[in-house]
Amino acid sequence: MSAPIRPLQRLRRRFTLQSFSEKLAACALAAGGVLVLRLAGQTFIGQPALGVLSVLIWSGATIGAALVWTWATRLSLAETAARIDALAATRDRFSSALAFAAIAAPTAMHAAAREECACFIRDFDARAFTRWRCPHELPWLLVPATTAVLLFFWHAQLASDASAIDPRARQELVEKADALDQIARQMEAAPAPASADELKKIAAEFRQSAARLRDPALLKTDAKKAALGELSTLQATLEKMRADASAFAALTDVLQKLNETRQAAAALRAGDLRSAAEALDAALPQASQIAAAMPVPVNAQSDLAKAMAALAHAAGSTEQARTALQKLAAALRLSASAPARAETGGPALSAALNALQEMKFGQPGRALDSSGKSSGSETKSPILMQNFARTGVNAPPATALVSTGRAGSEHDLGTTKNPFGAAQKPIAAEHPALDLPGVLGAGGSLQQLVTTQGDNSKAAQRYRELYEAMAPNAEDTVWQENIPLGSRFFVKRYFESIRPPE
Amino acid sequence: MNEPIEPAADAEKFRITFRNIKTELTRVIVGQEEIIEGVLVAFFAGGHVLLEGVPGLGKTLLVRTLADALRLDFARVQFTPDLMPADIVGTNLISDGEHGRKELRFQRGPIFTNILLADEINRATPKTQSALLEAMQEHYVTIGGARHPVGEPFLVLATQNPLEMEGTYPLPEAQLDRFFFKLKAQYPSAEELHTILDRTTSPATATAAKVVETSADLLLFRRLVREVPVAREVQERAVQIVMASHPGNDAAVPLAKKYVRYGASPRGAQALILAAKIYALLDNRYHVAKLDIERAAPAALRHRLILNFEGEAEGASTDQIVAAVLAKN
Repeated sequence: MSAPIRPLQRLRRRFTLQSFSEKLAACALAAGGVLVLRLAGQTFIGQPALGVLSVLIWSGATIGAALVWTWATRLSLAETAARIDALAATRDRFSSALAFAAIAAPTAMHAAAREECACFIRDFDARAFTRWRCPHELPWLLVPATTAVLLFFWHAQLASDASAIDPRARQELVEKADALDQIARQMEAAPAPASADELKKIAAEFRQSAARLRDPALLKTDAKKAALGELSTLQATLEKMRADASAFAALTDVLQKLNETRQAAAALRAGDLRSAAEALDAALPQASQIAAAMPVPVNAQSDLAKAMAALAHAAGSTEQARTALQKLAAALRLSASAPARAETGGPALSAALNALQEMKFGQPGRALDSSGKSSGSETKSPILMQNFARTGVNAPPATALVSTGRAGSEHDLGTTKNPFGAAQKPIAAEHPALDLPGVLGAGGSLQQLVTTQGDNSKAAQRYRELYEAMAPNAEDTVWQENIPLGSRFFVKRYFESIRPPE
Repeated sequence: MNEPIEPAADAEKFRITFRNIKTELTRVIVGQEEIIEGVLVAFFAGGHVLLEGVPGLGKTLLVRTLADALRLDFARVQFTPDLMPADIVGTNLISDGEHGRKELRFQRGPIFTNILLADEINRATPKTQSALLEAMQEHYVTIGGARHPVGEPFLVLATQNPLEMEGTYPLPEAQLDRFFFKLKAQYPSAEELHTILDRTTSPATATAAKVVETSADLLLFRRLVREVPVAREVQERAVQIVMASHPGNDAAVPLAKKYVRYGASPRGAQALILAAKIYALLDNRYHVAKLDIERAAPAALRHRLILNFEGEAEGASTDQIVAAVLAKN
């Protein structure tokens, strides 16, 4: 091999190594920028976490890109010679030696030139000119590296904070769990021979909720959120049960007063829902008379109450009344397969509901005595709770200019002459509860205080719970009240506008 | 005649001869080392020199001393407006021949020498200038259909007086291109002036010793110079320089685009390479480097760049343009 070729190849390897390090630094800088963006997305907008495999693939791709880039821009031998000649001021000996080495028939001067250049190259120490230099981009790698590390630990800290449970919150959870257990014991001990199974099932659900509250592994995010979720679930179950119980009681009272349905009322009182449904089927020919006498239930949460409401509304139409009566019978048959109404467990249910409400929004739950009433000192609850759908209400139909007392009624004259409402008092810094003066209407109402939790505000979630609780009442009101068809659209649009976002 | 070149021995001999000639010239001529080196480089490259400088700087002394050192004939022609071509190249005279017959006899002019000093060439008419320039290019004179070769080696050192512009005939650009180098004689410094006075106003005057034994050595050296190889990548530098001096070329420097009407011709590239070869030999090398080319560029190109009106109006210097071309990599 010609004299200059081997030294030039060695030089080219060194230049290529330097070039590779520079290109690797550039590629790493670009990859670091992408990594920072990815970690920022993971931290701030909830993108999926970056796994170790992804990082390894990214690293491999960066190195591969640097290798390809280096290979594509690799110097030729002539370029290598030109570079070393320029760096070391060799008087173009490398370039000349490479050019003269390719001459097939050199003259004497060519030979002399080759010899002189070869002698120079042989004694030439290129290390001083080919020493590895730190790429300019290398110090800048600290920027994405530091940013990535900070984002990584920030994300980890956020996750840790989310999973960590405040000791005080844990203590509250334990107290709530204890209160649920106590409520469960009271419900089991309540004298309810007809609905013992149902109460026992409710009590079992209470115990299960208490167990979940005590289990920190299930509480991944927010302790209070989890507690409220459990309590809200239990409350919804109890509300449904009580609604059914109230509806059954109302239906029994109504059916008792009608000759055509006394047999059905007796069956209901005995707890035989199927017989009650068959008795109603037998009374179908008298559907219109039954419908005319059927009062409108205020609380139409359950299927039974809705069927009663439909029957009441079908007073003028025999066909509608027959259909509604059939639906009522069907609802009774459905309820026959569902847990029986806890008629005598009503007080226990109410007390459990009150306790749940206090546990959700007030102090930790108070103990309940055997009758289901709260024991201990009467501490002033910050929330005035009213029950839904008082049983036995049999309000007369609304007449003109006479307030029905039912909320939402077009004849409701309100509780104050001031169209802007009663005068309001500012809430003090400690947010003590205030007894709002006024006259409560005859209808039921539900009041809920939606609390926030500082930085972890979940007002939207509380509002969602409130909305879900109120929406059926509002819907029933729209159907029950004599709202003109044209106005119904505005009412419905209002409720759509206040619907919480998904 | 053409003996084979022995690179090492002949190159060493060349270096020694060059150094000795330069030493002898500097013994007689005070300062002007760049002029001396340029004249020697042009001589060994086979070219001619255009010398620009005010009177009294030793131009005639230089040429005479060079001729003495090289054992060559020397002639001097003072160009005047009434100088005729025949006064330079010679003419046919009617003379009595044998048997009493009248015959024409060619009377040689002063051009038939080895080293000719053409003083103030811009004072002669273009016709007279062209007579000299033809001999410079062709190395022979044609008179009456007969060719008369001039001496070998042949060097013309022409001078231009930058002060007297009235009544002069500036050399056309095509004629300027025939000169290998254009050298600018600088006015001597105070110290140099002292030395000049000491040497020229005392009884003892310095003379140059004979350095070269025969003119065959000079011709050998000229052959040796042309044998020096140039790598393609190095020659590329000369091409880049010449191309960058042309305003219409993409590689032209901004200064050239602004002030130059015509860039360097291929003769300029030839001058670059030949001069670079001599510089390489003087640097103990047998190959040309880019540095040698860049060293020869100012003298080889300053008279080959033709300025446009804007350049002349703004007093742009071709040396600045050449420097800008060299600065561009």
